[in-house]
Amino acid sequence: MRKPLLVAALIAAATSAQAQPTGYPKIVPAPGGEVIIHSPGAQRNYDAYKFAPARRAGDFVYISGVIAGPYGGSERDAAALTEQTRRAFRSIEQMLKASGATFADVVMINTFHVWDGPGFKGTRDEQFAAFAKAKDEFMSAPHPAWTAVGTTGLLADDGVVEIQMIAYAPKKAGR
Amino acid sequence: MLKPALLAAALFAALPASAQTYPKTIPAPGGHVTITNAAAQKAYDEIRFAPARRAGDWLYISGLVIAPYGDEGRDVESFKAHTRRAFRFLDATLKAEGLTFADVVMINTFHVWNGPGFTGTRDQQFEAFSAVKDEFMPPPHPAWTAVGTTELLGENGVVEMQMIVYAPRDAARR
Repeated sequence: MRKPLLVAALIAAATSAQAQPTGYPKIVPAPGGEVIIHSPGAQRNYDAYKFAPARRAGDFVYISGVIAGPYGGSERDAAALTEQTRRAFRSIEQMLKASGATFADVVMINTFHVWDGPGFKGTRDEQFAAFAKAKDEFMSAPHPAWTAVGTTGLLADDGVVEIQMIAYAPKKAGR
Repeated sequence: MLKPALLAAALFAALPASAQTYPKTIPAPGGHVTITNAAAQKAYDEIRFAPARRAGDWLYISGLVIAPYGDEGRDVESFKAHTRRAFRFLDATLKAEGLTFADVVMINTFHVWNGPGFTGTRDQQFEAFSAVKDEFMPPPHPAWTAVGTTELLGENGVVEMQMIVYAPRDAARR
């Protein structure tokens, strides 16, 4: 659920510095858990659009939708979507890590696909295959529940897929 | 999120023939994956998603597509029959976990309102879906969100339904 400019900023923040920027991940207390802000870009989204990249309640962590798409001039073929999806998964990976979880802890995925939009040149099945290729690089068995449906449009221009997750991440004693 | 061929196979495989091997579980962090039947296993292996996954006290059920297979009808009565088929698969998945539809707390349904899989209006589709849902799910009702979608992954898919179920690990509490 990110606007394009912010997404770009967020991605840049995610890729330019592998080391965690000072002050992040940042934890904001919330009823029964907390908001987890993993990067300065996510902080900007939190402040401007008022959504948490990740929010914990009890033993579960809810990850906001992250959009995979070309953002402007880049290629729009299958290989490009696979790379754009990798970028989105790297961002989610950071959120999970900041929440004390990994992809193995993800129990449910919802993906929302623009099947015939400007962000991807190809068929529905080609889009799904290009997406699944990147997903498989990050997520191995045991697999989570997954619901994949079409949508008319996402909030980022040319957005192709928005990926939302729920992870089981019981707080360990002493955390 | 089953592909059409797999979905068709999944529902037919719900017959007793596979009862010895399925349902089966695969350990996962804080819970397990539940594989309802042989075709669900095929979907798990090939498309890499769990029909249902338990973690802690909750069970997450993947979206299941309701669609006519091949030459099946696309009118109201046919759609009701296809919807029953999907609910029976969900019933088998819930039973595998010792649960019932009464334990379902949230449903999300995604509807293709003007697609090739159903010939009637939006209201007719919703009414038909709802009537079958009522056959399987009496009160107290769960939370439910129903929205339109452009297209589903199953060919001629009309509705995809996803559920979250409260499934406390402590059997004594049930």
